[in-house]
Amino acid sequence: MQTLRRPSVTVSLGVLALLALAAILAPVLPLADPLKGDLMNSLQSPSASHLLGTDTLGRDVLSRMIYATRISLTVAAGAVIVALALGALLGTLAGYFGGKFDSIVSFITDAYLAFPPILLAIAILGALGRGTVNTVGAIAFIFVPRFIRVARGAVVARKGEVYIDAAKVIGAPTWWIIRRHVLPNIAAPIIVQAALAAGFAMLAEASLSFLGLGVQAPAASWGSMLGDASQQIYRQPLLMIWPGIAIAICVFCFNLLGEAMRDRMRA
Amino acid sequence: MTVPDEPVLDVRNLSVSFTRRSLIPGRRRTSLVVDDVDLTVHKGRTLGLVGESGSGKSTTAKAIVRLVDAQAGEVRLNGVDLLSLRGEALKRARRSVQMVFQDPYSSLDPTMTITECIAEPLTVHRIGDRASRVTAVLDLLDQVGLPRSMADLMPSQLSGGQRQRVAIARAICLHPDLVLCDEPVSALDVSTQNRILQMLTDLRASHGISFVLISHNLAAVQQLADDVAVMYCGTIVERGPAQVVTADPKHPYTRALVSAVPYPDPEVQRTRTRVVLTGDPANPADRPPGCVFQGRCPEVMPVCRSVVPRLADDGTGRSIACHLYEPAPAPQSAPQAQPHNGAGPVRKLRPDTAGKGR
Amino acid sequence: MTTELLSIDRLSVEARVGSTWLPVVTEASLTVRTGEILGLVGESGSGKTVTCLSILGLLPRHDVRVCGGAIRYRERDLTRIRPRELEDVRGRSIAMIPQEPSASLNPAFTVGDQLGEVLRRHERLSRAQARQRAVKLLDDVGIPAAAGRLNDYPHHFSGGMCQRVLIAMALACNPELIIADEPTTALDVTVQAQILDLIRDLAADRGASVLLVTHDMGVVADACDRVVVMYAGQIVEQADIVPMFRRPRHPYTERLLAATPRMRRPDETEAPVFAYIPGSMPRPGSYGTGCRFAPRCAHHRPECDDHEIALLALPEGNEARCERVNDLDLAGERG
Repeated sequence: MQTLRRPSVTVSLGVLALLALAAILAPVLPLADPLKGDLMNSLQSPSASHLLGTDTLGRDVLSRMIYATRISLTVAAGAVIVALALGALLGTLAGYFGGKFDSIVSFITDAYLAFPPILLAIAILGALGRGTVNTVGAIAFIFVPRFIRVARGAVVARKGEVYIDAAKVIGAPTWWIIRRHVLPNIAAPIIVQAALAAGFAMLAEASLSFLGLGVQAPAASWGSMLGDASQQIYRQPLLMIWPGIAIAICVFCFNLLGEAMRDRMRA
Repeated sequence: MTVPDEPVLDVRNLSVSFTRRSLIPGRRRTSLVVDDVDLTVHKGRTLGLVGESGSGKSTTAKAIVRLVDAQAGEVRLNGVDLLSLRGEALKRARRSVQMVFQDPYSSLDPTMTITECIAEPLTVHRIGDRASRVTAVLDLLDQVGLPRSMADLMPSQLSGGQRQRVAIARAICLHPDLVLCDEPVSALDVSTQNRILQMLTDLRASHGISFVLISHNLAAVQQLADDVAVMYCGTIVERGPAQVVTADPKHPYTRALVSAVPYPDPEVQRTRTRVVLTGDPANPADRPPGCVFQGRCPEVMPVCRSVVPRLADDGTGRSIACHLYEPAPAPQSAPQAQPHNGAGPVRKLRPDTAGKGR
Repeated sequence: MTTELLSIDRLSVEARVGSTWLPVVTEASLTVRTGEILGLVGESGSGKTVTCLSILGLLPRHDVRVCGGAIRYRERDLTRIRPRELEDVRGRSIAMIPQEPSASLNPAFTVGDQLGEVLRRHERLSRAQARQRAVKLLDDVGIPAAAGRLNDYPHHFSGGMCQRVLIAMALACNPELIIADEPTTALDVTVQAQILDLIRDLAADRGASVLLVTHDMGVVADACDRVVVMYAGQIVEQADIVPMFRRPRHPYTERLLAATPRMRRPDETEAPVFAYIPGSMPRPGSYGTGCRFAPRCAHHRPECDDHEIALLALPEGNEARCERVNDLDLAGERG
């Protein structure tokens, strides 16, 4: 457990927890309405009434940032959870049973990983249309093969363990062996992968929303805020700074966590 | 001949082969790892299965519990052929045959507590409720001499000997008729080995469990076994009552195995005549025609290079597959009903020809 | 025969557990004489492997350290010389045969490459000369058709054959001392017999000394001239081979002997007794003040617990660390 007690882990967990808390508590916090515009006061610099200033429509940036946390975190977490569930399932089955099924899954996975992930997501959103749910789906879709790979590799490495044979000898059915012996033993590498993927999923969401393909206005994510702000880059450059910093910090925290868990696994 | 009670385990003509596919299409190599093996274990008795690594002894055990597929043969457990069972019937039959593996460090799932490890067979077969399983586990811990406080520990917190006792507790928790032990002590320290062997002896007495004890070391087997079968390159070369086989080994391979065990007394060990085998065990993928042992046999004869020796009874309940003990080269070998009783043309082996002395 | 080749003097080694250092070897002294095979016997956790590794300076640097004593070899203290010098000693004068033969060869290189590298590094031979020497060495260790096998990879060799290759590597530079750490534990008994014969013959032919680490008294009986028994980081008995087996002077030695598997003699008819030692070896850090074997000893008396027991030199030339050494008459092999 020592690796998990190092300062970088404590700090990143703290930051992420704080963000999650802010996202959950957003409606009860004393914030301005994130959707209420005030065209008279657009593109203001930070002041006592608007701590982070206002955007093009005069909406409070701090309030929008906090509400955007909800969407950014939910999309990243949702995408990772969907990808993990699907990928771990397929990867485990492919690794455990081997044979034709494994060959097919592995072949598709390899082919799939040859595509640039963001382009793939853009193509999917182009076909399905924009929206938060579709964004989650598109990002999940580009992560599935990574989880398949990790899960399959871990299962293949553990399939030969004697405790698997020992379970077969007592008459344990296959689903039992997978659930009780295979999954708990491959959980560690998959969780590491999830932490690393969460950071990347957040970036992916930001990129998609920046391009206007992700979250639909008037709702905001950090990425869409960045997209909107880019239009005003000469008039109010600060507008781009806030979501940029938020994304950077969040991705950095996820990556630190993932790295720490990976180190812990190696130890 | 009196008809003994139905054997617990009756293995007939068991054969297992492995196929290794090559990158070059059409070049598949099939090796017969277990070749036409017969074994019998009666109730409450212990069979020692001995041979070097690669002799097929572990594969035989794995085929019996259906961890590997047999190519041919029958494995009758209490009269029912295990190899023909599927689904629920197989699951039910598995309750009466259990296995203890060689390496206690990898045979217990590291993510489970000791209680979960021991109770898993009960859980899988839906026997009792949670509370009764916990009681059963505590009782089993007593039986294998582990403190009850270990119930909540993880396998990584136990020593090798303790883990092997957990593995045994797990194996006996369904009250099986037969337990296969694959090198149960060779990964353990000397002082712990005997404790495990003693425990197996006690369990045999108290539960009437039959054992198949697999080892490369005859010394570890002979103390516990009633009968011994010696395997070489997938075939049984000698079989019989443990006392008879170990005290007076006949097959040149058995003699080599017996003499390879060092006697823990320097003066005895350094003066006794030993058969030291040269070379490596035969490769099942590359079996010679004739006797499998011909390549290392100090007594090899021309006939050994062409004719496969048959396992034949020598009249004392022991069977040997060696041309040295067959009637002088006859085209048709005598049927088993006529045992050699010493008067026949049996060639006796002179002990002083037994390989290299020191 | 009585020249000292290597002498370990009150060697203490400690290992790090978390942030504390615990003793794993306590003031161990032993001598390897020229031309002898010395057995170092003990179970896992006794400190025998750590002792060997300290001779070679191969302890994992940040976790295990020598904290006292000296290892004298040719007027030098191996615990104090510079790493470069130690490297030189390791290759030229002291060699090691490892425990896991198949794990100790690099699977990516041929046996000839690996053997040749050792030769060329220490003897500055040309490629062709090294090849010649390699064939000779493989031939010496009993590998048939040696010249043809130089280009084979380790996975073409069985466990026994790998061990022969490793012995050849150990012999490459004509070492004076060979440290063999459980060289046969991973092998079949039949192959064990071959390897022990080989080690014994090679030592005799080349006049090299061997420090043979094992937990098997059968191996000791087969190969050694003298024995040192370790328990829980201490040397508990030291004796010549025959007296040790005839009359062990420490209860632990006696129990180890009794527990060693052996073929029953044809005339033994009584049920086998499985001699074992109850309890388990204490872990470093949990040693008591008195005798470390006391909790598992059948001859334990209260006086064994109150003070550190010294390794007592006995009139016959052997040594034992037992409070009751003079009033116990332990049974050995009947002979």
